Amino acid sequence: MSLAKDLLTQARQLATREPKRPKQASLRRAISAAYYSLFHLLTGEAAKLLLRGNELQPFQGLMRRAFNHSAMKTAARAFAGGTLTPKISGAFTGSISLDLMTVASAFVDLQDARHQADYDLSHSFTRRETLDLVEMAEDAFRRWQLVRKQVEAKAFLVMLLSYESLRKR
Amino acid sequence: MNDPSSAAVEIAIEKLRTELPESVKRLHYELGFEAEGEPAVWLWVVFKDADIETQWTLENRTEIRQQATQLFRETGIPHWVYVRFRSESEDKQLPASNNIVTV
Repeated sequence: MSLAKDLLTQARQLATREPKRPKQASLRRAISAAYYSLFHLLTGEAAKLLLRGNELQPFQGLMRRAFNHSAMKTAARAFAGGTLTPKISGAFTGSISLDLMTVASAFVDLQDARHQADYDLSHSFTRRETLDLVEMAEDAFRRWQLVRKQVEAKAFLVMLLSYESLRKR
Repeated sequence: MNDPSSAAVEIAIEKLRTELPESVKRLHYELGFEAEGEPAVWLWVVFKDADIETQWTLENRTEIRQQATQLFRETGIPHWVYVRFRSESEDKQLPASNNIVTV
């Protein structure tokens, strides 16, 4: 099983680890794992898309290190909210499907939740709140399988890496 | 409209409250800034304990998320709205925060 899927499985395990009174540590790590599962799914798909073939495969791991969380969030937000710059949206011949928008939206939501889970101790998480976020990641995985071969989904992967610099030109 | 304390956010959330299903007991929200400095709203939707078994579905929660996003967009509020969900009994266990408004 891939790292992305393992992290997704681990997220649910952590969210349900203590039967009665869940520990904040378990819930926070569950949220973090849910975010990183989607992060690794998308960066892995992008690396495979952009560096195809045996010759380039060794570079896929290096390329995955090039992704920046904040820049990915900016791109995902633009896809989810339909706010791509005119120059970039003009390159699309088809429309962005609801499934792809939901994947992009989940990425934005989960990254914010991960940030709170890892750094913000002023808020506590509940089990249901955590399970909702884990299910959001699971839903994003399912929806990604439906759209991953669409040209808009491939463009989304490219934009996760390049949108931040392209939108300023 | 980049001011997260904008009254427009409050009006939008009041309107959203009237559109949500009866299984929603209450809403909490907090205005603030994301890690990147963008203004945002965090909205907690609290489900009634009595309706959890039948209404706590991914489909219902996704619909509420979409409703909130759509309403903000239609109202011209650029803030990203982060929607979180809790049950009524969980909500009682958590300490109140001064920055959070309950509707």
